[in-house]
Amino acid sequence: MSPALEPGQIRLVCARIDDVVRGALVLDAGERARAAAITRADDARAFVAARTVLRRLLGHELACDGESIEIVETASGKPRLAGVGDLEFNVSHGGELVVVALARGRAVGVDVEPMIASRRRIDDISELSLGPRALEHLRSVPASERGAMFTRWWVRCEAVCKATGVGLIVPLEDDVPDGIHVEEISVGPGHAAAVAWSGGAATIEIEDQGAGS
Amino acid sequence: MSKEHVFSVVKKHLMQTVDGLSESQITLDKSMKDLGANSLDIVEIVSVSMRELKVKVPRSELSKLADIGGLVDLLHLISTQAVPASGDAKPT
Repeated sequence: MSPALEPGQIRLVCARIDDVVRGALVLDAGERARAAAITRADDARAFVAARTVLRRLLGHELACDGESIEIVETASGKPRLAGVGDLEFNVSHGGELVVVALARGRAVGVDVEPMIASRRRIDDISELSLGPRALEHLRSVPASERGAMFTRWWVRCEAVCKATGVGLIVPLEDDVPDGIHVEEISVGPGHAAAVAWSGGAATIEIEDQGAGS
Repeated sequence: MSKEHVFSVVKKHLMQTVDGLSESQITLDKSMKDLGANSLDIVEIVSVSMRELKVKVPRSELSKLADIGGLVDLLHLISTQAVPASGDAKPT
């Protein structure tokens, strides 16, 4: 695995949920109980995969056993490390993939989604979720391209929202806030992903654990 | 339009969007995220509910919603205030 993270780096790990849940899970007791209580099987699989990838990554970075790391949640449900430290992370799962982003001393947000194929779904959600310029731009491209365009745009916005700490269902505006950077990341066919961060330029390092990027 | 009707519309679209969700699981005190909806699902459920109810929720109001009851209250409030079903106007 890669050497310890430096302040100017953002490390991303991308893995297939199926691959992760087939291997040894790295969860604490609370997460095992929480996973058992999730009624939808796909949600439970995504949750345990995301936490396992996260704990492996944190365990490597902190040079400790991943299961022993204390992860707490903020009032808005965002997981973070207990105690004081400069290690920041964010987790997303969508479709077949889980992506974890790790950084030091800067906020980081990540999002992955399967490409939206339904034209009706795009029509349903774009008007409410897009700002005026983005909506106009979306409508200017051929209908066959709108799903990919919308999904790529959506993950950028979600990554920014997660990096800035704004919750879900927010007015998604056309412009990236001052001081926030966002970059699309390649995670293979069928999915779109993006990472956003604060604190100036950063080097993005992607570790593909079978996602196919 | 009654609040019960608004809730029935939201419930219907939740069940259509989130696989495997049963009606008995959907209560006003739960969040859509609790029930397995992701952020795209939530926007879709709100959008199609607005269309069916012929109301328009200002985007700025959506971030304040904590649970399904909050969404039902908001949709019901806007429907009773007869906000036009187009534009991003706030109720006055």
